[in-house]
Amino acid sequence: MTETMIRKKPGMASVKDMPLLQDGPPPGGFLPVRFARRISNTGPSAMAIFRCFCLGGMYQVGQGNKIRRALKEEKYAARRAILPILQAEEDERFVSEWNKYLDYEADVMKDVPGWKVGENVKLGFLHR
Amino acid sequence: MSSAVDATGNPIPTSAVLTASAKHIGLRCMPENVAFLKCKKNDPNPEKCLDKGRDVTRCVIGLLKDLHQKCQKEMDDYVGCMYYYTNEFDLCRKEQEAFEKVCPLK
Repeated sequence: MTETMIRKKPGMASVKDMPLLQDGPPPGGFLPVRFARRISNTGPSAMAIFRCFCLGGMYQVGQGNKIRRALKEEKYAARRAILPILQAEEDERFVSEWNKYLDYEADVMKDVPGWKVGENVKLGFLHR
Repeated sequence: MSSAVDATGNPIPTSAVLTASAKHIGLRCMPENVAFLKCKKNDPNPEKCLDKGRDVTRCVIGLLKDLHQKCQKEMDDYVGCMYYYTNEFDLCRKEQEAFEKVCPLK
């Protein structure tokens, strides 16, 4: 009954004669809407994109290698710096042990005629 | 052993302590080191280079003692870090910066 109150037309015989209440386009129609694809065919080819990524990656590898080389250089410089003290300590220890050994050898072979202490050991740099 | 000092408070030249102070050693004990290496190059016999070796040892031990007196806490932290990470410089950057701020490399 409320529909007739809204949509009524003066002089209407029955509900079937009510005017239409429709949702429709505005007069003159809607404005045209573009729905066509506009994907251009220009731009870099697949090979070019691949080459660009490869070159970028190679650049990053080079940078990384530079950083790693710097770290390695730091480690090697530290080793070069402490090499002399370690070698000096080892030299002291070696010389004392070597002398102890030669004394022991002299003591063991003191009754053997013509035995030269230290001759039988072939160390490249020691000639005592 | 992770402590940097022995009973009397002198730094022990372990690998952690030596790598922690390697940059200082390379800078301040360079003449002794170079002399020792030259002597070694001429004659590898250890008995011939004992005196230069003693110079090197004296310089380095003195330097370690000096560093330890000047910046004890930072040096202990850095040496502890070096000991923990087996002498990897890159894993101890924070302690290294603190150490070099207090005991700078001139």
